[in-house]
Amino acid sequence: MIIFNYLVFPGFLFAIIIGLLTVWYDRKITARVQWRVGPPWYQGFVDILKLFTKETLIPSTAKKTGFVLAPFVGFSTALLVAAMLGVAGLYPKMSFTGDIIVLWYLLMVPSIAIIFGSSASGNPISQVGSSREMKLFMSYELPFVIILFSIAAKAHTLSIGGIIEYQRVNGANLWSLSGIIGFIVALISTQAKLGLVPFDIPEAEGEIASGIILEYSGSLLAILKLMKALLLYTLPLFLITIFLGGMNLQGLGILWFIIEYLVIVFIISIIRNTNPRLRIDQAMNLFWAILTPLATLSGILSYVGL
Amino acid sequence: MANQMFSNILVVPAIAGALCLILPRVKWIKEIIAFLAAAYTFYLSFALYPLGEVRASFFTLNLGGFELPFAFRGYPLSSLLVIFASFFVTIIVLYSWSFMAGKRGLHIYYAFSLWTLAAANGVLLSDNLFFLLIFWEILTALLFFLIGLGGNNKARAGMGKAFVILGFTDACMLLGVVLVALKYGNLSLSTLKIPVSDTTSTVMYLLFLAAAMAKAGAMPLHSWIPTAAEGAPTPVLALLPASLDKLLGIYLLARISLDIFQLNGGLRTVLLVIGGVTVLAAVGMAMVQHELKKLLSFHAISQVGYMVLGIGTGVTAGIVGGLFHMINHAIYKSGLFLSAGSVEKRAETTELDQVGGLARYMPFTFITMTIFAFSISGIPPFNGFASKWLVYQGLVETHQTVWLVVAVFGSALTLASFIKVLASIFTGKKPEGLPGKITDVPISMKIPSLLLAVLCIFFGVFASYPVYKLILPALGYSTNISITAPLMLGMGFYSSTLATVLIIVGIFIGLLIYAILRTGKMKVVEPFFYGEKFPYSYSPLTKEPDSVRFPGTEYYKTVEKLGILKGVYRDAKRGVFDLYNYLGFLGQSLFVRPMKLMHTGVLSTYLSWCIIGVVAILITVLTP
Repeated sequence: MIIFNYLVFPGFLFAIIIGLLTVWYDRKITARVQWRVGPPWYQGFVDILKLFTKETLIPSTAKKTGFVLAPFVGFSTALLVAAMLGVAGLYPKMSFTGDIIVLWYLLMVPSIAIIFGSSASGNPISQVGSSREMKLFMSYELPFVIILFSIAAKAHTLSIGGIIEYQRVNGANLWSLSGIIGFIVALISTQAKLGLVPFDIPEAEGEIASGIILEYSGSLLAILKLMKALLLYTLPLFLITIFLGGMNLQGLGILWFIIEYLVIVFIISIIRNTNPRLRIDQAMNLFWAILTPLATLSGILSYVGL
Repeated sequence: MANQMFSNILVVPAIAGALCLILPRVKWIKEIIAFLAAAYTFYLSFALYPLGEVRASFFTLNLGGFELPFAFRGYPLSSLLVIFASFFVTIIVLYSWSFMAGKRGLHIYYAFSLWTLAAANGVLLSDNLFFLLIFWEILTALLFFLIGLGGNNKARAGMGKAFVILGFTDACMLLGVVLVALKYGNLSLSTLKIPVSDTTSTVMYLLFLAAAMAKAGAMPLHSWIPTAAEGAPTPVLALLPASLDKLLGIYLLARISLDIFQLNGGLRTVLLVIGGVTVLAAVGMAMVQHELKKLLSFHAISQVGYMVLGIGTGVTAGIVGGLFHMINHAIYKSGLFLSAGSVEKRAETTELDQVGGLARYMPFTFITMTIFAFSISGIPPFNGFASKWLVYQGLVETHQTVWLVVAVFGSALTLASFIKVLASIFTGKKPEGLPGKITDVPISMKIPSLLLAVLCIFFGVFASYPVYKLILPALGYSTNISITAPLMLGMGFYSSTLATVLIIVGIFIGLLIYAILRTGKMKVVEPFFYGEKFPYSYSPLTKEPDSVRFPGTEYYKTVEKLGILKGVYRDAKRGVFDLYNYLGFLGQSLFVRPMKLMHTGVLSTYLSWCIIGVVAILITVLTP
């Protein structure tokens, strides 16, 4: 049963399908914002299939093993995180793989994998992208960690299931002053974690020609796109887990879960469609000088019980 | 039986060290003696651990009515650390065969390495604070000479700084030992129990703490490590600041904090503050370093913070985490220094902006160094993650959310810093200044790194083995859990084995999708360069061969220049946070200046001082 949960529902397979559907949802919103019709629902799937049929180009400067392996490592950890969150939503009382710290560390791996792969491509433009991704990573992790652990401290547990349970008893974390501030900070961090506008600094198409994913093409790019799709499913799910009581699959809970999920992805999509790209030093200042104090404020507020 | 065992563990390396010094300078003889002696000690140390608690007393020193038994005790934690200490010396001696070949002062190097092992074992096994202190001092002296083997001005500066800071803290410890002896009349580690309640006991504890902190390299007594890193030979760095000094410093910290003194909340807070500040400040300095060994030395400082935090929590999960992190740190940090040595050997520089693109030429070093880098950054499922995770559990259990955030964020910065290291050494283009033909290192330098890398993976994937079979028994808990069991200490849960299996399954699923769906071919092409021809090489006319390299040292320039951090970094570079500068000033005005005034070079003044001295001695001797 556990194997089924990890591999099929709500684990690996489910996560891939929902992730690709979310990509369509996001593109549809983008299209509507831009006054277009937008793609049909299966667009995400056919895009991936198309990429697999294309030629895969490897730059002559690349360290081949690292360059090819990096997308798979990133994909596999994104898959694992999705499965862990899903399984924790089904059985909040049990943990099978690890707690919230394990999850946080695993969420770093996809970024690291891309950085590694792009450095291995040997292209200096890609390396500019890597350096930006790394700086972005350092900046958004600080407020994110503060929010994460102030919630863990509030529930006095580190297990994902424990945080879900706490919210089922005491009401969702979002519905308090500290929760609202925390949610805003976490949402902006999530936007950066996903590498979406205004934080697409490492990719910056017009400037460094897609930066970190510049040299990827064909089937390797398909794996990377799958990884991004998985993250687009996983990170909103993570927000729901720590702020809105997780994935509740009983009765009306399913409906609530779907609405919460769609709303969060909607907000992310709207932000990305209505903002210009920041410079890397502006982004670092935003996270360290503005959002970190806000996150600290939220932590203090939750400590005093607001 | 026990006497024999204890004396062997100390005497074998000591005698072998002396042999290295006195035997004729025939090629290979000292290398082989050193390796065999260290390996034999390693073999002997295995017999000690299963015995558990054993004691042996050799003789009793009588100092004016005060009895000092020269006694040893196989405290389980000590025996465990003896195994690791001898292991590190063994592999580093093996590594030095090729690395140090052709350098000057080799007989001194091997002799002092072995004596270091003997003295370290003496510190670990002593049951008497007085003899522990003597072994501790011997280590300081040996470290002084080992750093000096670098033979350049930087090494001399490092020697001096290490000696001043460690000598100062050794003096603190001496004062502490004297205070304990005066107040309790007992210096036995196994029977002393001092409740920290009044000022005297607090002072005693702080004096011992200073010695432990300086040895391990926690702030503010850390600054000897980066200075030593600039000049000392790389294997010395791998041996002392990276592994043995950590084992000893944290061992002493554990013994004083857990056994001898019964800490109160205030002192725990002191430990937490030291730990937290060390983690964050040192990693911040490491991020902006451009010299590999100096960068690694700042990480060696930063990681001590986790151990201190763990022990400072005072709960089982944190203590186990701190001790486990100490062992893990010794493993991956000596591995990192050895990899740095390999790079140094082949590229002839450790300046990060002068190397690049080495992954193709040194694939073995690249892979092992990546494993070490991921371990120190705490990426699951490597060993650094397991021990940091335990420290975090301890912090959560004791409601230390602030230090938890600091520790976790410090870990993210560590990762960032090592991405820079890997990117600048191994990826990108090879700069023109490097030697033309670079190959990987010889096998005697590969084996140590390989062993350490395997340990990193093993202690990470089967984290329950070291935790439940080595460390918890060493602290006196008996456990009976299989090695694939999840870690369940404190309030958390981490199944390293299952996580690894799932990651591997995930990679297989990725490869499966890739294999089934992929129809396009693979082709090697020129990299994209804004539609221009990719500039592999440059015409001799422009003379700008490196202008399109993006060296890793450029990675964090933005951080240094960021408005909120600019001032802090400027002050740090000027040495504002370096206690040594203040200590040096103090020493200068207290001792050096008066001494200078006394040494006038006038013979009659010297003679009159001598006469005054003789008169003073006569008066003391003759008065009843």
